[in-house]
Amino acid sequence: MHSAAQAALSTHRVLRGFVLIVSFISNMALSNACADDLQFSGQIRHLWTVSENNDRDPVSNANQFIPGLIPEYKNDASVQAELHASAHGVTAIATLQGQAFDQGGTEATGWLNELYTGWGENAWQFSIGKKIVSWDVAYGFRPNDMIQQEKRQTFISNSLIGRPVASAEYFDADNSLALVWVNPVHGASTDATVEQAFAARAYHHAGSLDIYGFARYGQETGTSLGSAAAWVANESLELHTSYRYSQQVALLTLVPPPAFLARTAPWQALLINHVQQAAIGMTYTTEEQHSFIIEAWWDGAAPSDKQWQQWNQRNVALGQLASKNASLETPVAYNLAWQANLFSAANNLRRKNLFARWSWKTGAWETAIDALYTPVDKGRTTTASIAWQGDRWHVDAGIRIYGGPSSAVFAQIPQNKLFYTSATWAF
Amino acid sequence: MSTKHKHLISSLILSLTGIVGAAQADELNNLLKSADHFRLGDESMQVETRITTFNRDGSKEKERDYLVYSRPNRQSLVLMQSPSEQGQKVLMSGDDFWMLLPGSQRPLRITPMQKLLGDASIGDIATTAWEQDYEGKVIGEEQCDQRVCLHLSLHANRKSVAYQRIELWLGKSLHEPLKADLYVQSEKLAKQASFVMDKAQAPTAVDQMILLDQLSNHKETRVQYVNRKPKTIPDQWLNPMFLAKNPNLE
Repeated sequence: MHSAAQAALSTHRVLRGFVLIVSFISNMALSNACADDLQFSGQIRHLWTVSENNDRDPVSNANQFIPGLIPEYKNDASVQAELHASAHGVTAIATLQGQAFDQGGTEATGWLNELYTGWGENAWQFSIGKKIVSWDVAYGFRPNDMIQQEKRQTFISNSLIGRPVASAEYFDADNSLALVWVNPVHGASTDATVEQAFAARAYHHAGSLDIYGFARYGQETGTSLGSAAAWVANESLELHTSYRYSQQVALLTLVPPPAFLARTAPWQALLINHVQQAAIGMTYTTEEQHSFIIEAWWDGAAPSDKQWQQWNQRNVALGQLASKNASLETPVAYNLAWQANLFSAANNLRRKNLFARWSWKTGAWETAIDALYTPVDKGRTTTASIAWQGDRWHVDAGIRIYGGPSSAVFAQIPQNKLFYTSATWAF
Repeated sequence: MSTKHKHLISSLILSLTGIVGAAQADELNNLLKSADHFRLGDESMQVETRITTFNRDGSKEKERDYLVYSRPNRQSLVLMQSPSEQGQKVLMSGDDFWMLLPGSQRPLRITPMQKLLGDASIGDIATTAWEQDYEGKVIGEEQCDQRVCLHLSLHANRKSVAYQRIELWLGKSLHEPLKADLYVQSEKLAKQASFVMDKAQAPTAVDQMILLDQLSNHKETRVQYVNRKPKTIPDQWLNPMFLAKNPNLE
């Protein structure tokens, strides 16, 4: 199909999605205008990010050979309207977004974060639909977030996009049990975000200690078991820990092509066996409202040290090949672009991670600095932010800097600096 | 005097001291019970609370609305209702605290110190019973704005309460709360509170609590009890997982 026709069709679909979401929420609001249980709220957010692009990463190198192969934007502005409505046991959250990039590029899109119905009284409750289901303790990484698998360390906390689920949950004052069938109508997939699976969480409150047990059985990835705890040691200190063992996890792995230059992406999702993930950390809050978080985690589902070594070696070899033979620049560019796939292979770039955060809240203002360090390659990312909260307005601004030695993964991601500002109006 | 008589007198003195001590403790408990009744009403309540913070120049900085459910045994649930905080909840069950943020569905276990964050801490909003949380003594009668009042010196009997020491002044005849100095763990004076009653001559309930910050920003915060009614919430509402599952409780 002609690209212009494809673009028109895509725009048409987006518009149709907009109309569907808006009409759904409007209908909900209007038809229940007199209903006692209607709740309607939302927020409008403007976000502007300015990036300083890296010049020593595979994406930049690929773009040197084929300009614009992977678009790299310096300015990105977006406006999001997030609408929440619930009535008669049905809950919906929808987001509409307009986005503008460098050189006049624009995009409009919309999505449903949640749309589910729930029933049952206090002890047993049931839900069906698209729903956010977040589990586990910890701040920077949550091994047992078995359903939502939320991406952490984002600049701005947005409402997550739920998963299709059917769930039954039991509650008493100190215990709960959740049984969840996730992606019930999805076909076989090794991608845990869409894989059909059964998951369970048991919770027990024992005074200053919260104890959790987790289990998941995925159609393709098999069994995983986990446990977690959060303990309030004294009036200022909270300690938490989480551990998960998985029989199998899908991980992007380099499948060496017959020739050095691949014709299709050589990084493919293969199942790896006996994966362990663990996190340990603490929060400490002083009387003067300074808060500290320190965490360390191991993510066995992230690419291994050996994989990153292979990746670095392949980057170098691809660059050398193009410099020796100009006629190979085009296939080299595509191969370099595929190298960037490994950046999004898992929740964490490296397996060993150390994280620290300081924040201070005074009146309407909150300032924070956090740092993530990967000890194996000495990569680091540092974020400084400031936020102001008014009656309806919330304003954020911050900067994130990626760095480390030239072989560190954080030093080779497509941006090395990001500046952002955001203004949110709640209604 | 024989040894036997000495023992007898010592025992008598000890017994009398014990009786006096118990009587004083009873007196203190009765005073705090009366004061709590003006502040809290019944044991299981639903209270609509509005908090307004003023800058040092008297201009209004912000206003927040809360719905507070309280139960006996230091159990309470605070639902934030203002647009900027819509969906946030804080659960307090004895010495255990959790915070729930909208959209995340994951309760955060928080420390007593994190509960203190803000101009009016969650401890100020979800008022707990002084009678349960504090011990101390009656210092004596004093003058409070041209009226006679009782000065009580209280210290917390557990570490998780917002204020470790309270100097409290109650009306002499009805024992309604008049003012209080609130001290945090480090013995620093954090806030000074004064209480506005619903009826000046025959008060039945606290209408407003005015807090003057003495620790950092010296702002004034007014905690206004807009509406109170008896309500008993089910046990499950005190389970943080239940709250995460049921974001819309009201």
